[in-house]
Amino acid sequence: MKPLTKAGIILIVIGLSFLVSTLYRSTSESGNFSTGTMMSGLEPNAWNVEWNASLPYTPRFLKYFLIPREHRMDIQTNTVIDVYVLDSEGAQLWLAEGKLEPTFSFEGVRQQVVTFNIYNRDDYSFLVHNPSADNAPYTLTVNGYGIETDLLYLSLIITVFGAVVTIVSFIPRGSGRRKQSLANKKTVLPAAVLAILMLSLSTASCAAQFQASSILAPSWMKEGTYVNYDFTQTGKSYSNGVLDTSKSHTVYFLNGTRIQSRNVTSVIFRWECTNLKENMATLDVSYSVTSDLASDNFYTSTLVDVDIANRRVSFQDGTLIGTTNFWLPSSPADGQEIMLWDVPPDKVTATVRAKQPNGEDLFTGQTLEEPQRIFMLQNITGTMNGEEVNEATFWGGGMYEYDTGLYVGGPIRRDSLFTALGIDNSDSPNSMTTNVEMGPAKIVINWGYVLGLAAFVGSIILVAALLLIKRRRQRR
Amino acid sequence: MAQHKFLGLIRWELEENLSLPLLAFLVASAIIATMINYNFSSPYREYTRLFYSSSTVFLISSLVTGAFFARSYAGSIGRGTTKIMLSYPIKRSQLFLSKFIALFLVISAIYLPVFCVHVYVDGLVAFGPMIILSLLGLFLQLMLTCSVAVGISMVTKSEVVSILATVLLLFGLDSILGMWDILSAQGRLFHLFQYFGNEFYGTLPFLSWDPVTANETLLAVLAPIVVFVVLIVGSFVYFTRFMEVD
Repeated sequence: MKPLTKAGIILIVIGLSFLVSTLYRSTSESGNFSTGTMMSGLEPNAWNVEWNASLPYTPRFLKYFLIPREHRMDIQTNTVIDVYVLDSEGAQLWLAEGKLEPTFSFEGVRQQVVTFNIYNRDDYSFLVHNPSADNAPYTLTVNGYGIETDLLYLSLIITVFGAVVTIVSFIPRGSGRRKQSLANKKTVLPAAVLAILMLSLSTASCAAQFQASSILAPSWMKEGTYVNYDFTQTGKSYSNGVLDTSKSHTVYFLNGTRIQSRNVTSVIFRWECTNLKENMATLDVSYSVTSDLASDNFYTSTLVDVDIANRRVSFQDGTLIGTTNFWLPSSPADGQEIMLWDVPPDKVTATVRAKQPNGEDLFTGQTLEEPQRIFMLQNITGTMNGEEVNEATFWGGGMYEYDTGLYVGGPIRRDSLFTALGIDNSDSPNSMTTNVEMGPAKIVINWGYVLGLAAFVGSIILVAALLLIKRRRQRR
Repeated sequence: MAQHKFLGLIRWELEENLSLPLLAFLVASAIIATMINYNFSSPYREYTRLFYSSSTVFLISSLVTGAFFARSYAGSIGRGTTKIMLSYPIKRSQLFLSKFIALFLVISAIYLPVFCVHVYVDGLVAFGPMIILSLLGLFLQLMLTCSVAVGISMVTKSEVVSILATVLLLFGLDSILGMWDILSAQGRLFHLFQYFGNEFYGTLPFLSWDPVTANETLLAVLAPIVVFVVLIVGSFVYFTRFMEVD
């Protein structure tokens, strides 16, 4: 085979390998990040930039590394905002000179999913402007989909170039004596590429699917039932290899004040049922921040009455606070409508999402020791205290254990139990402990370990068996 | 004269392994292994992407390296090529070393540059310390794999069994030890990243994990080197002094 033909075939293989990889990569989403100011919102006529100072090896501000593919941005806000996507040059220009030269701009948006195509692998920034006279709480959720165009073009160019080189190599050159017939040339197919394709097979697991009827009043609520949600920061922070223990925690209050604790060791929100008569439960609700510094400790608690059937919360003097969503009806059907807030004339409803897009059940082990089946909420709509709410501002992202309906993770947003304490936090707990008996945990088999062990033992048996057979043959 | 013969053997091995479709297979496997496993979850330009993307590279490179070395050593014994070669005035040591050098050169020369595609794909700085550490991790894994493959080939003298046993052994060990263990391929890279990341940048790349010490990192690097030296020297001595080629 001519060296040129060989080079052409190798180029084709390189191009096809890139193409196969690019197609495979297109099946995964990228980005998957959310940004925004949920609590305080963006002030009227204000601009916002995202400062990313927490991650190592990432430039300190404004930067999300986006790859050339289609991106969808879900914009959620109560009012109208302008969103600008800036590339690194645009970001620098805006910061240094205040000049706005966005790569993409979406002006006057409220609740909308917009799409934009990134063409260069680069850092991008999301600049938000609130042109209205009201505060604008907002979230931007960005996901990338589809084929990475730069890799696609690269793979096609290499493949075509390889094909051209291969064809050129077959063109006879020189005198007639040296001419070679194309028909006599053997073509070598890069069969190896096809073999490698087999490596991209993936496995899928199955889970049992069933739906049960919803139960409004939780059967698990008894005197002594409690749940502790732990909000303590779990991420270890090191500075030059030394553990940084100076964790701080801020508690925001409904009256606009806040307190900050330093050297925090634990942040616990707890509710406990101290009394239960028919559907009326008395809950002891508390929020405690424990610090190494005695002056930075914080503790507050109160007793509230809760109708466990409709989850209405009131102070012990009968003053209605609202509806709690620390538990919801158990075993809801996928798509079922659930009431999240019912204080006439205001109502907030949501629909249940109990399945993944592929039809499989949802599971989480985020705050629990073992993965549990869960459901989440979507399409949150309605009004609360006369104000429109949505997933960005009210309980969006909350996760509920399927069999009990108990809240097990995701951000807590404006719940009545927090309101009873006068607190306005929207954190997500890192872990929880409870004496509520949840549904069966998902059995997780570490197939990697099982397969690895089988492979390791198999390799030894294989070699041993071969040596044994060889020795027997030699004896004969 | 001896040197000329040795170089001739290396050239012969190189031609053997750089022929189609073997070369095409090697190139395709390196590109797909590098590109297919991508850490899409983080929206940041960060070096830890290299770590999370490397598992497939380690797996496929081990598979390919094991297969190529077993094919060359055990396969040539099984097919009788070694016997024919040794009927010429060629020393056993020259044959052993020429195979090793040629194969290791070919595989390293393909896998290591292809891995550098991450510089573009992940938007990283070329020749940054973490890229070099990743290449070191991959190089150590290639060394470990080829030594295990050669060792098993010497024992079994069977191409198929050597390939299977090498791949199963390395895959099995890595799976049992887990991705953070000092002796697994990814654990080795984790230790390199965690130690040198902290040294170079003053911040741990993996914040939720404890810092690692210099001794642990040294152990992670030395372990495959020691295995490599023991197995290769053992195989070399066995091949040149004791092995009966029939």
